[in-house]
Amino acid sequence: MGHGHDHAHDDFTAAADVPAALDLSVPDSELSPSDVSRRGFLRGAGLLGAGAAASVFAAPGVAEAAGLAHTHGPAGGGTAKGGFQWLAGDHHIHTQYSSDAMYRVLDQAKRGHAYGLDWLVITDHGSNAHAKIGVDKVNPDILHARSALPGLLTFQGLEWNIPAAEHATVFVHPGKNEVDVLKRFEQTYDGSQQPTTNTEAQNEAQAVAGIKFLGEQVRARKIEGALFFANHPARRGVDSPHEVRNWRDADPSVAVGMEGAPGHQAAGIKAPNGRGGARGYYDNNPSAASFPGYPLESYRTWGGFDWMTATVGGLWDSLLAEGRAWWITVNSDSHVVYLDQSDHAPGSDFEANGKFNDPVYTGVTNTSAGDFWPGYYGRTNVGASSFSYKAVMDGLRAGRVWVDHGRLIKALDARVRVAGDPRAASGTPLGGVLQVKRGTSTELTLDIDLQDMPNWATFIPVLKRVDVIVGTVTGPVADKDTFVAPNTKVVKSFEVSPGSQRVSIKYGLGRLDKPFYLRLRGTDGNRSQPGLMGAAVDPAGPKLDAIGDADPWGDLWFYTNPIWVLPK
Amino acid sequence: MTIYHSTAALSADLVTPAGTYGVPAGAPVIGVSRGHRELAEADHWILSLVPAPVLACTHLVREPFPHVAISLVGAAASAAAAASAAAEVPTAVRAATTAPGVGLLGGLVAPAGAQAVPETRSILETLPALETPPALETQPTLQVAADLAVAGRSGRAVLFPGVANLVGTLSVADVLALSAIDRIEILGGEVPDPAALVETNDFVRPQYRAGQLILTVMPAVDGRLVPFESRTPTPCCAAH
Repeated sequence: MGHGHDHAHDDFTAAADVPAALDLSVPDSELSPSDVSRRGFLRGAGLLGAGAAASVFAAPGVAEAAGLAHTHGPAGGGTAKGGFQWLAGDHHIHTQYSSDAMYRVLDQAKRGHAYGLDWLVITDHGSNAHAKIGVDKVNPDILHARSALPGLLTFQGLEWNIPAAEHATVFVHPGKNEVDVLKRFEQTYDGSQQPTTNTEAQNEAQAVAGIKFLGEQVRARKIEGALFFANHPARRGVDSPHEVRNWRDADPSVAVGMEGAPGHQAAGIKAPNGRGGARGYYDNNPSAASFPGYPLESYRTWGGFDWMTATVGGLWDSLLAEGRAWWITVNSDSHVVYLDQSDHAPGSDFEANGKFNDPVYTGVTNTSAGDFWPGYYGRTNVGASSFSYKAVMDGLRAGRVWVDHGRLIKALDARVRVAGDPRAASGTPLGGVLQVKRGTSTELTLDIDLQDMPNWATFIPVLKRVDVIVGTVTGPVADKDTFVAPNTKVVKSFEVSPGSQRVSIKYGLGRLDKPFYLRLRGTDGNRSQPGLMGAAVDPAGPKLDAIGDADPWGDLWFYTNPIWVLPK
Repeated sequence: MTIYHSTAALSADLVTPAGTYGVPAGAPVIGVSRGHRELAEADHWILSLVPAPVLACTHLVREPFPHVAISLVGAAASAAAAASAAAEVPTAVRAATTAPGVGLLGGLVAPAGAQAVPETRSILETLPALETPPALETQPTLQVAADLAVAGRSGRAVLFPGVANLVGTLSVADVLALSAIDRIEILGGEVPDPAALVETNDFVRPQYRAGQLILTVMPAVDGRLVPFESRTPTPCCAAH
């Protein structure tokens, strides 16, 4: 609709008081030296360019080329090529500073590192005790973990009770103000700190304000970066589609994604050797606070993954089909670990101290716990330009991320490029946007190193199948509560030959007609059923996890984030 | 025998359309809102009614704030008066409404041995309409919710004909034969085998959809099925 558009211009570049440094229509050469410096800082902090826009159509001209309504703002999606190191991590871990958890920061960090993680985030629950005491007290423990484990990047964050919604990981780049920013954020914006008289609308607005606050702290140079991921988003049906969109739009440099799979993956292990509950603790039902449109299927896990991600043509795809950059992760949500032999120390006073005393060894094996140690089962693999806090945050913000359970595969490199490009390792990586002239042929190149090492359950997982999922990009939705993407489906499946060591696939994506995105999924092939949108959309999707009998090691999947292909 | 009052004052839309609630057309529906935030609170209130209603459903409403409203069919005036007192002895009430062999209607109209669904329905057909008893009244600010409950076509049934029979482990066929549940669906689309076993956990909350009372179940241990809704869902966390 040309320039007479009716959509909201609410990203920060369009704000009336936008500083010159943020206005990308002003070239560097026309900025004052201080603004050039400021722009450099912001670019370095990931607040300009790659990954910082709500939409892949944010760059001028991109949407018009695709024949769609445009949005303003910097270009979205990662564009860097090659040379990434893939750093495994977990952004959702609890300690003795959570009223329902028990371990020291060092217990969790040591285990996470031993089990193969390169980075992790300590995310104790927002609460009165945490906001007043825990958020300060946990910091020395985190500093200690950083010095004791130099090979592990240990972020401080918290698990935010999003007003009117579920929980979210919020974390910041380390620095002298990390505690101050987190503390002010929690005391002002945590759901536990809101007046009980607040209406649903007031709470939703407060959630948006909290995300904006974090971005403002970065732009004010208090911290070098802040990120938000919605945790276990479909668990109770309280993260409505419009809230997810509003969070992303509140500040796309902060709110960048959600858990594709929840933690608590041991909770479905069959009794008496396990808890015999629901995988992920996904055993809730619609409540008065739930979004009324969600089906009952959304309250359960599918192959261990959250319904928003597991459903081909579902909520996640509806965001990607808009061109809305929104990434997925997997985490442990580790509180109390399956088969661990320790317990809370006696004599703890959590409310007074903001923490439990250090755990004590009991010799009693806990078979009813639902969690794994960080790194033991799931991992979020981030393509980083270096081993650093900033590079991990940049990679997450850019969506250069793939996730797996139980070490299903060893490594993955997926790119989309102009077909026939003779250069090795060329192409646009995960999270990126490839722009080509209409009619140009593109192809997916996919290299997977199959697993040759035993996982932490002592077996070598075998990848059986890889699915290529493609969706047409149709631009912004009129109804922010949309959660279906009718043009997204599995377009191709590759069976992996038994005994293979490597999968190398070139898959032609045809001549570019309409803008589209692509994402990948793989499985051990043990459990599948037709997808919720029908067998024509997803013939062999993840299967509903049984209550009380969901062996997490017998049902392994990997998922990648998307790559977009747009006309220029 | 409970005495029911004539209800000439009830408007036409306050009675059940044919089939909507699995009870005959003409049975009056009473809408109630007590502002319960949680389903468990509404369930508890419903189960404290003496004698028990024939049909009691919860309805998730968003007006004037998100909470659980309630619709009742066959709730007796005397029941309402006893409700607040009964709330203190829910165990006894629960026993009265769920004891195997004691039909749901036992406390209401009490024909000895009335349990089977066909009989239940024939009894209902003889029920005269009733007025909203004073103790079932709703605060004016919540009346909108009570009205939504009455208009609701998607109630979650807490009490319904035959619920008392749904205890222990039953086959799919038995669940359908012993209660007003019209259909059982497996989450995710699989078709249930009539011989498949359902572990009821003595907690069965079917939902109305398009006039049919449907119990959604899901796969559980050893090929058995469990109702979708659990009596004890995991709380969101202990911290707030």
